[in-house]
Formats: sequence, structure tokens, C-alpha cells
Amino acid sequence: MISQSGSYILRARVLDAVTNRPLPQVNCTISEINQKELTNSEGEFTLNLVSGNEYHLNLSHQGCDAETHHLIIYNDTFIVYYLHHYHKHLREVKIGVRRNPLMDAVSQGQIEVLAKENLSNLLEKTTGVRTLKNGNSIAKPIVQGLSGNRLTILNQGIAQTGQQWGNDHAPEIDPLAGNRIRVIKGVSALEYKGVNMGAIISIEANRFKDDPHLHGKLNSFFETNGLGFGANLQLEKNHPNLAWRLTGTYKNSGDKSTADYYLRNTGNREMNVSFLAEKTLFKDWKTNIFLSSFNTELGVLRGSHISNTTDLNEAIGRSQPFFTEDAYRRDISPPRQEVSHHLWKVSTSKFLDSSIVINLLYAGQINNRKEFDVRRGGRSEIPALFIFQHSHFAEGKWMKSHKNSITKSGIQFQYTENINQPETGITPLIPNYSSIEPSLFFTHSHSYNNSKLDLGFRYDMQLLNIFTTTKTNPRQDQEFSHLFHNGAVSISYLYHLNKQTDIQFNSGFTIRNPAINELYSFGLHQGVASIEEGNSNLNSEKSFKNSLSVQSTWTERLFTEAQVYFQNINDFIYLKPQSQTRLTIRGAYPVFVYEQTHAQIYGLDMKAKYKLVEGIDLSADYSYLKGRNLTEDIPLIFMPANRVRGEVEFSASKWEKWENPTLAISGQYTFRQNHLNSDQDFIPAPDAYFLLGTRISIERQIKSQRILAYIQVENLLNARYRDYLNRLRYFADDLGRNASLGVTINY
Amino acid sequence: MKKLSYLILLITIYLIFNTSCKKDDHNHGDHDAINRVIYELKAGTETVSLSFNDSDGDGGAAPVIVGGTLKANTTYTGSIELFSLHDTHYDDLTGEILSEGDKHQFFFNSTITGLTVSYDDRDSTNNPIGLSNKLHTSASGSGVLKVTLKHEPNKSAAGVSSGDMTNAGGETDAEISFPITVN
Repeated sequence: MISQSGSYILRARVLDAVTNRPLPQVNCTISEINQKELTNSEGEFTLNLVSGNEYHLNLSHQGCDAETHHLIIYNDTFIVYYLHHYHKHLREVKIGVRRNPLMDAVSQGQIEVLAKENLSNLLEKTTGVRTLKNGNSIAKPIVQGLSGNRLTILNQGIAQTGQQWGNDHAPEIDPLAGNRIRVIKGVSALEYKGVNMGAIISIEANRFKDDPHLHGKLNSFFETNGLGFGANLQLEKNHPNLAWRLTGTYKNSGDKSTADYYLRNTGNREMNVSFLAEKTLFKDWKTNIFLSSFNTELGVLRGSHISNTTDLNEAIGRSQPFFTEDAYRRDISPPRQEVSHHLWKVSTSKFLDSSIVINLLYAGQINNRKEFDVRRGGRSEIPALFIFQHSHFAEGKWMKSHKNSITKSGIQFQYTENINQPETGITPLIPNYSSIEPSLFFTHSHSYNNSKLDLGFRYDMQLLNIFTTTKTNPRQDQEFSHLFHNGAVSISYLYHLNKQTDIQFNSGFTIRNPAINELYSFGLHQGVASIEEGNSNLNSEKSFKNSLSVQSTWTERLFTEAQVYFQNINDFIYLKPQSQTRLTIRGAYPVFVYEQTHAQIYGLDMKAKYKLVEGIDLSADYSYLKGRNLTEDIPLIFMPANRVRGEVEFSASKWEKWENPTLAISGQYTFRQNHLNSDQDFIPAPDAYFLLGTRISIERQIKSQRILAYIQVENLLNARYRDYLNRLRYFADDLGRNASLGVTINY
Repeated sequence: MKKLSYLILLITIYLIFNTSCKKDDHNHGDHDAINRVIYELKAGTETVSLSFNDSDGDGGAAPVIVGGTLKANTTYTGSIELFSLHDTHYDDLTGEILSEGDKHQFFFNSTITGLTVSYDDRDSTNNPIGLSNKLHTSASGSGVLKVTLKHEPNKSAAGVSSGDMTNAGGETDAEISFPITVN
């Protein structure tokens, strides 16, 4: 073909990254010349481009996250692009590059349309992940029954430190500062600091785009429940000298409402900023820095602030909580939390030769938590709990990749100091402490013809120094110190049974030492109407977890995945109610002491996706879990109730000038937690409930800007319900209908 | 590379030897805690003093509650005082409760037939507080008088201003059961 002078032909083919099959009906847009093409049945399109000019090619396809590529051509060019059907398929075909089936992820596209949600609520979209809540804005993730001290959360590869022990302490991470969230289970979790009793949650950033220009994304939303609004701005430039990305998030919401009434004091504010930069220093040290600051203010339902069991009994069973107001309010008053978390990280890596990479890293974190209670004498503005924590982490890592194997090993060191601030005027629930934690790990992964073997171990030492006072008069200073040794070994074997099916078996043994609250907390846990006492004689927990998962791609249209797991934990640490009560100025309180038992958690997670015809996708998932305290022969408390979800999604590649119009309808049925004895809680577990939701989204390319707009409605039927894992179930219903509207602009 | 390893080594050494976190130097008494309550009942020249004492706060040694013996068919003038222990001296909290009278209210519940308590003070919104009160006895008997101090009750809810705690809400600052004998 003869081209015009200075003009050449770009021929491109778009393939599905999972199946390697051509993708027809992909919207291909070059914004500079305002030219739009659809790929043909071979996944191909052709364009005339001027030599040496810079272009931005946008590829968008229903069910994929849209991609933009930077292009300069100097000749007739043929390019192959691979598009990820991110949440449609979970499997890659080639052994070796296959995604670990024990991982599950929330994609960038999902994060974008759920921008209003916090990290935990976002993660709940993943099978097997649930949330422990204290109202909607304070939420902690639970993975296969474990949360808090037993679940590590990584922010850009760094284990989050802070007050993870509190049931009402939400992880201080902005999911919008990352591009994807993964749940890591199995051997690869051993590389990371933090106690890993089976799973790790990881918030990760994308690599820089291969594009030297300044690009950005503005994501803004509004929601009707709580009249919440917010925006997230991301700017990125991959300049040859310095690649950088800046993100900022602001969120603001007032009182949320149930189907029938406002939940007084349930608003929140959030303001975050993060900065990532990458540069090659000293010739070949690829160095990056990451800075992030997370700041939030969270209201706690006023009617849930109680003191003793009399208050609790009065609050339970009311049709509306105490302090309910008729009008919507945006302001936040005590009880409330003010939390900020800052992270800074420097990491540098170098290829020693073509197969060996070494990586050095330092990260520091500051966590500042203030909790304000309703107090006498104008002290409501003085925090009742104020803990300042700083931690420092250093790591040296070595990675070697052969043709079929990858070996990693590393040494790590962490120092943490936790200081209660004296201005509270209240005896702190947990004492001051410092902790020194050196660790090392080794993992090895080997791929065979039709199987893959992963194995690894990890060792952590913890030296914990505690500074507290005696509990009787006269108060005297006391110091304690503990030395713990934690170990973990894990093995996983993946077998490619046939073209359709992969089977993976994973087995891991982990030791977790008791955390600070389990050893030394002492006092009244506000809102739970009980006295909580640590036990300095606790042993470490020993967990043995086995899981088996089967993934099948039955046809091009049907995909299924199922995982069964069985976890046995010896010396499982839990709060045991004591037979005697303790008399205080506020009456007699039930006393709970941390004790140990033999626990078992087992369950099943399943999901299926089915493409009925082009444009209609069905998906469903189901989670079953049971937790038992074997020593006492009773159920474990705070275990998620079983849940089943289904979604039907209608989509097309084009509608008028709009691309990828999508309509999704989803339903979620949560069973009643029947595995609970009546004497294990103040009230019986709430009834089963059903929530219906819907989402409509469209995309459009206007010149160099790509626009995504969506409307979604949660709890469409405005159901009145309570959830077992939400502590507010004692006091109030859960959230009523919420419609949200959002626009994302990429440029 | 050498520079970087030195840097990390230095940081590590600094952290190992940095033990700035030492004493828990503020753990000597809570501003909010009520460590002592005295409920004084007067009728003519007779004074009965009910008290609650817990100098080390929640936990530690158990509180000491002193009850009393009252005469039948008598009206006592009652007054309640509250204290917080600060290091070695007691701070009087009564004034704090009184000045925030609209945010506080005492409730009295007795298991003794005919023993009732009525309010003898008013807050700025003309609702009762209960620091000053009148205690009436009728027949003989013995049982418990439970005194409850609520913070931020809803005083306008049904029955609250006449002493019924059911719809009060709020948070319990004190709840003491005094053993009482009426002769």
C-alpha cells in the first residue's frame, strides 16, 4: 500500500489478554484527530497517521477497563494490544504468567464507580471478604472469618501499623490513592511484614503509563443518603527524568438514614493526599518515593453511646434510637473520631545481572488517633483516647528468576513506639509500649509443564516493652517485657488438570503472638458496656490452614471457581465472659478476660460467571462459614453469616455517540447467623435480609477527554434490616436506599 | 549502593538505641471518674449519710458502699455530693453537675414499699436535677435504693421530669445501689 507523503498506516489488532482471541467491537479513538474506529471481527482496525506526530489511542470495550496508549510512528506499523476483561474472567492461560488463583482483586474500574466507599466496603465486593462495622463509615475487613490483629493490610507494599486492635478502628487507607486492591492468600503472603493468619489485603498502584505527557483523572460523586459528595483528582506525568503521580481525595457526608429515620451523628469527612515519584539514580538504581497523608473525622451514632448494661437494655428494642432527630444534619459532634495516618517510603532496586534484582526499602508511619466522648464539664472537646504511634520499617530483598522459577528472600526490621497522650485525663485502655521486630523470609516458586509449586517460610521475632502503672493505690510505674518468636511455613501446589480446570492446594502453619490489647488492655470499652481485661500470660496462637480451590473455564462463556478451607487454631485468643461482675461507680459490669481456646473455622467460597449471549452476563457468588470454639463446644462470635449474591449485566458496545452502555441489576441475600447460642449476645442475631441494587453506566470520548458517568442505587427497595456484623444493630437499623451519581473524566 | 546500606544501618542502630518511650506519666487519676458519692439525708436533728467510695477507680480494690437505717413515715431532706480523686486530694464535682444541670438528672428507684424520692431543685429549663431532693418513707421494710445519674438525658421525653428513667436515654455517669432499712 502506498501512503501519502509523511503519512503512514497504523494497523492494530486487539486481543483478549485471557484467551488470546481477537476482540471485535472495540472502540478505538485517536483524540488528536478525532477519529473513531470499531475493530472488525478479526479484532483489527486501520488508521492513517502522520509520521513523528504524537497521538493518544484510547481502547474501550464493554467489560474492560479503558486504556490509553501513547503513540508515535515513523513507518507503517502493526501493533497488538491486549485488553484485560478484568472482572469477567479471572484466569490466564499460560502457566508461569498465570495469575495466582488464590488471589482476588478489585479492579480500577470497580474502585472508580465505588469512589464513595471506604476501603472495607469496597472489598466486600470480593467473594469471601466481609466487614465488621460500627456504622457505615467505620468498617474493618474480615477475610474468611479473620480480622483485626489477624489480618495484615498492605498500603503500597507496607504493612499498615496503627491501632488495629480496636473493633471500631477502621484501616486508615484511601483506596482511591491506589489503582487496585488484591486479597493475597498462600505463599506469596509470606514476604510481607505483619501477622498473616491466612490472608493479606494489598492496596497497590499501577505502573506509570508509557506516556511522557501530563495526564489526569477527576472522579467526583454525589449520593442521596447522607447528602455525601466527594472528588478524587489524579495527575500523572512519566517524564524521562522523573515520573510522578499526585492524588488527592476529599469526601464529606452528613447524617445517613435508615428506611425510616436519620441516624444522628453518622457523618464523615476525609481529606487525603499522596505523591509517588520514580527516578533512576546512580545510573541503575530504580528509586521511588511514596508519601501519603490520610485524615478523617468520623461521627459515631449518638444513640449508641451508652455507659452500662442498664443503658444498653434501655437502648435495645426501641423503634428509634435515643437522640434521633427529625431533620437532616451535616455536623459531627461527640462521640467522634479524628484519625490521621502518614506514610513515607523510599525504595530502590537494581538488576545485579539479568536474573537477580536486589531491593532496599525504608518506610515510616505515623498514626494519630483521637476519640472524643460525650463528657462533663466541657471536656467533650478533649479526646478521651489519644494515641500517637510511629513506626519504622527497613527491608533488604533479593530476587532471582530462572527460566521456570523465582526465588525471593529478605530481611526486615520494624520498630514501633506507641504513646498515650496525657491530655485525655483518662486512664488509657492500652498502655504505652515499644516493639522491636526483626524478621526474615524465603519463598521459592517453580513452574513445571502443567503444574506450579510454591513454598516458603518466615520468621519474626518481637521484643515488646510495656510501660504501665499498678491498678491499685498508690499508683506505681510498672515495666514488663515479652519476647516472642513467630514462624510461618506455607506450601502451595497448582495443578493444570486439563484445558478447562486448575486445582490448587494450599497449606500453611502460622504462629501469632498475642497483641498489646490481648496482653494489657484494662478498662471499659465504651459502647460495648463491658470491662475488658488483658492477660499477660497468654501464649502465641498456632494456626494450621488448608485450602483447596478449583477453577474451571467450562466454555468460552462459563467460568467457575470454588474454594474450601479449613483452619485449626490452637490457643485461639478470645474474650471470655467471666462469671462474676465488677462493681463500679456506674453499677455492675460484665467482665471479659482474654483467654485461649481451641478454635476451628471452615467454609466455602464459590463464584460463577456466565455469558448468556453477547451483551448479557450473569454472575453469582456464595459464601459459607462456620466458626467453633471446640474447648467450650460453642460457636465463635462475630463470624460472618452466609451470603449469596447474583448479578445480571446488559451491555452494548455503542449507543448513539456513547460507548459501552451498561445496565446491571444485582441482588444480595444475607442469611441469619444461626450458629450462635442465645447466651452469647445481648440480643438474638438479626433476621436474614435481601438487598436489591442497580447500576447504569456510559462512556464517551470527547476530544482528548474520556468521560464515564454512572448512576447506581443501593437498597433499591428501601429494606429495613440489621446486620449481625454491625455493632449498631443493638441500637438502629442499617442504611436505607442510597442513590449515587458519579462522573469520571480522564484527560 | 554503599551510601544506602550505611544509611539503613544507621537508621536501624538509631532505632534500637532510641528508647524515648518510658514512663506512663499521666496515669494518676481520671478527671471524669467519680470516686466518691455522699448522699446526706436530714430529718430534724437526725442525719443519715449514705456513701460510695472507690479511690482507685474501676478495677483494683472493690468500692465500699455504706447504706443506712431510716425512720418510717418520715420526710428527709436529701443532698448529693460527688467527688473525683486527683492524686491525693478530692475535687468536688457537685458544682460541675449543677452548672450543667440541664444535661444531668438523678433518678431514684427503691425496692422498699412506700419509699419515694421527689426533686427539690430545677435547672435552667425548669426541669429537675435531683442534687437536692426529698425522700419520703412510709412502712417499715428493707431493700435497696438505686440512685442513677444520667448525662444528657432527654428531659422532655414522657415521664422523665417526674423521675421515670425509661425514656431518658443518655449515658449513665453513676449507678449506686444503697442497702436501706426502714424501721
